[in-house]
Amino acid sequence: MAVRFFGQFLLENGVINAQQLLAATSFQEKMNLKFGDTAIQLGLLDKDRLAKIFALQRSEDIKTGEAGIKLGFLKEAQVDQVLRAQKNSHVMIGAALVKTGALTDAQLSEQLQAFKKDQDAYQLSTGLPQQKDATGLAAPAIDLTVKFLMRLANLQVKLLDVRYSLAKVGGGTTYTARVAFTGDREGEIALRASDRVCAQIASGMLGEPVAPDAKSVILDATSEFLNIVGGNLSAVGARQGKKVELSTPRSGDVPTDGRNIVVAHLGTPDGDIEFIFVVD
Amino acid sequence: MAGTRTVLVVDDSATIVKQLSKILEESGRYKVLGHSRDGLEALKAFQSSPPDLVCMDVVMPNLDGVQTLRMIRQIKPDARVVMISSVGGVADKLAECLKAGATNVISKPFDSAKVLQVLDSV
Repeated sequence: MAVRFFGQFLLENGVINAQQLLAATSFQEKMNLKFGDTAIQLGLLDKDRLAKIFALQRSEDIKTGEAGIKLGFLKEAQVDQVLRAQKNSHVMIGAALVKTGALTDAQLSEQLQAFKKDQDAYQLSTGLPQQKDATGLAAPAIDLTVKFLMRLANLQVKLLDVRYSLAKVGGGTTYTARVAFTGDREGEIALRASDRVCAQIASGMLGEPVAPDAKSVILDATSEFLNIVGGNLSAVGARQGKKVELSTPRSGDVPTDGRNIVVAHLGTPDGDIEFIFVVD
Repeated sequence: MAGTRTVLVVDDSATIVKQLSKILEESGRYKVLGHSRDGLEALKAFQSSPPDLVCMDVVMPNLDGVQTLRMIRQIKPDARVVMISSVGGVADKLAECLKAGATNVISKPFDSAKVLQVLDSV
């Protein structure tokens, strides 16, 4: 029911246990060389230069390849060469589970098919211009929000449009739930809607009716809804090599000054929902 | 399975506490001993009345789930702790939980069948 990585799918389904998964991930750590070691193996760096790259990374938050280019040790084409070599020799978790004896080849094949079926519901469909979604995470965040609103809150939802600024709140009572994230980029996701629509989300999450004036219940449930979107976005990000770490949820207006904003307007029969993706 | 097993539910979301407690109690196989809103509350509850199982979130205020898990395992090395988290689908986070001693990790959103299937196997 969630975006998972293959190892967790197997663990949750009781196909493997925690020790088998840890043994396989240790095997991966041993076999999958890091960027610097791969570059040395390819003869593009030596240990002294790699040490200088690491020293630079202690003062600047940049990747090893970027540091290598900045110091003049590597060219962009060489960084691509290292990344390709890493990708080509990468041992996936499934292969690692076979190598460490947790699965047979036949079991792996069967489980991969089951995993693909499980994750088909999370195939992404929203597209945004790259200059408006520099992190590449706003589009999947919108997709996940729509899918979870339908699945967890039982709402009929349609993506109406996407804008790049946040209008002021209109009349009536609205609630805003927010979850901040850090990692490769900092920002937050937020969900803003009328009390009536938020009460519907809360009702769906709790499986029982929630009145529009039950503020604390509604904020807790919509925050948890957003937390689930954020957690699954972390899993999508991890598949793309992007780190997304979540903070605990909060509520209140979303500050907009100097921030890059993507606002998805989602239509429901009882009113619109604004899903807001902000990068600092 | 002989008898009813006791569970401590740890999550900063009242929504999740309510959802999980309902699933566990309605199964007739689990009794929710109590719930805690963060890691510090969980440690106090665990020490005062050790449950058979702990179901715990990862991202929480004050003391997060992984730190709390390590401390619970120091108090009781064979404690059975299942992490239930929205970040369970991230490989690094999953490995961190397992290395800290989690028995299993369930992703959010969860359904009742999955929760009971995992807890019954622990």
